[in-house]
Amino acid sequence: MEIFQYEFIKNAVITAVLINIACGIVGTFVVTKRIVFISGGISHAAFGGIGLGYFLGLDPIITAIPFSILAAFGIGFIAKKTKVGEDAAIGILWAIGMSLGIIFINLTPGYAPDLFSYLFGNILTIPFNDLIIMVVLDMIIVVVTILFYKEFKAISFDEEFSKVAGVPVDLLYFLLLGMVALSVVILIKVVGIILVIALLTIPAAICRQFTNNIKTMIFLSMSTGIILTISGLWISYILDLASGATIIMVLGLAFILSYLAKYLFLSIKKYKSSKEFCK
Amino acid sequence: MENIKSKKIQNIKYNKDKIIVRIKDLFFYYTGVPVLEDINISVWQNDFLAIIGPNGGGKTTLLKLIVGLLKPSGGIIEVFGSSIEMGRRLIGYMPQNSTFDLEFPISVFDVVIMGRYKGTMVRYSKKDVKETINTLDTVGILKLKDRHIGELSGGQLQRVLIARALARNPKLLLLDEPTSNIDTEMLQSFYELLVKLNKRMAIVFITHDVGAISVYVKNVACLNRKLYYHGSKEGSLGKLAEAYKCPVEILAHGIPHRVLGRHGK
Repeated sequence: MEIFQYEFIKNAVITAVLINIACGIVGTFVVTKRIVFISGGISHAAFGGIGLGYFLGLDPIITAIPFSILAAFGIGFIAKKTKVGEDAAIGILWAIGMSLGIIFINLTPGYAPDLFSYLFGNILTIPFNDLIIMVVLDMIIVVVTILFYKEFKAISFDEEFSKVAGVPVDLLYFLLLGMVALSVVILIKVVGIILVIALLTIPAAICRQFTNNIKTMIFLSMSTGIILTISGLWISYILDLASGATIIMVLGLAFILSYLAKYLFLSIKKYKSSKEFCK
Repeated sequence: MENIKSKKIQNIKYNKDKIIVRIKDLFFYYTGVPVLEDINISVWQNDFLAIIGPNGGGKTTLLKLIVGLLKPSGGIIEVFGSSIEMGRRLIGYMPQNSTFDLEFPISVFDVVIMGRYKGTMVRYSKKDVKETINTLDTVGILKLKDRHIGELSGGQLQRVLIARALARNPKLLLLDEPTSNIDTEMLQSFYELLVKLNKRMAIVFITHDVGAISVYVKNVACLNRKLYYHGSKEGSLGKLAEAYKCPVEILAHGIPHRVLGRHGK
């Protein structure tokens, strides 16, 4: 593969692996717990953190970390502890975060460099520093998941029963939203805040169709994500298209194909068993 | 810390006829509308209490209050002589089966072992696995243990939920509409299972199906915003009619199965 001789391609492949470690774990819980749009809300609200970074003259990724965690807790708090519905909470924080980002950038003198890459991402321009941040955030996500795997599984399946059984449900719910926030930060530079939920949810949604076990789903989503991300990257290189958007298109196509494959498989199985029944 | 607390509860010696749940002057309002009013009831050790009443009468709300999923607007609930958070470790709770997603990737075994949850950082032990297997066997679904929960019939799923409630060896079993998905032929064996369990634990079950009050039940209460306790079945029928606002004849089924006396007897 002649494209691997370039340093930036090597970085891109490492990035593909690092982001999908986070996405495989967090995406599995996001999809099974049905908090896809909470994740969408968090990722958009994170734009406020990006703006704050520009305003303070810091690396926007660093300021995005506390900001997106705060947004995640905000959505969680409004949804759980007030009478405002979850969807309303998402909408409100989504918009406030974006607006704050725009205002911060307005207030920043001069031109905001590579703002576009935060919106739409670019896997080819990930600097080494960001790889380090990704490794650290990945490690946090992996350790937290190992420690609280059984609780995350329990609250994703049945929050009410978990509460009665003694699981500290609210605490773990916020911890899970915190992990979503960290994944969002990991993904921002790669696909941009607008497309974050795609990478978080599509690999998990594909794999969910083929397994009845959360642990299997996590590892399957990781590997599916890595393969599809690298395929998307390769196609974007050949066709000279925007990498983030191409990766998402590949993911989307893979989801449609996997759905059709599963449907076809089930129909054949049904047809065969009905034929046997008639014999 | 948590382990010490739960041990303390388990060491309580039970006297016969000991009260395990005491509800005093309980009120519950939902957005200002009274759902439960002035509820006073006790559940005894080894009790077998059926709570009947029309839909919307507050039956599910009452159970949710007992396990702490809802907070009372007024009044006191005492579980095993202590607060709900402490006492509910000894409760097995079976909600109506609509609280989760049937597409969730999880097997029957993994659902039931959740009933043995002990705390964060505590792994499920060999004993937990063994108890889970025993429980699955008790409710007669051991051969389904690796099945995905989406591939079960309504009756089988009901058994999974009962097994999950039973897995922790509770001293009180709370069942919310356990008979709603069980067909009439299975009802007999279901009640026999409950009678068997009743030797080890108190059972409270709620139903809007009045026919479910079988000969096995020890006590009956009617709930329609207010609670009318009948004690051992042959209670005052005037109260029953008051709760239902309908003639009692409807409640009592055919003579061979009659549990409640004829109206005006």
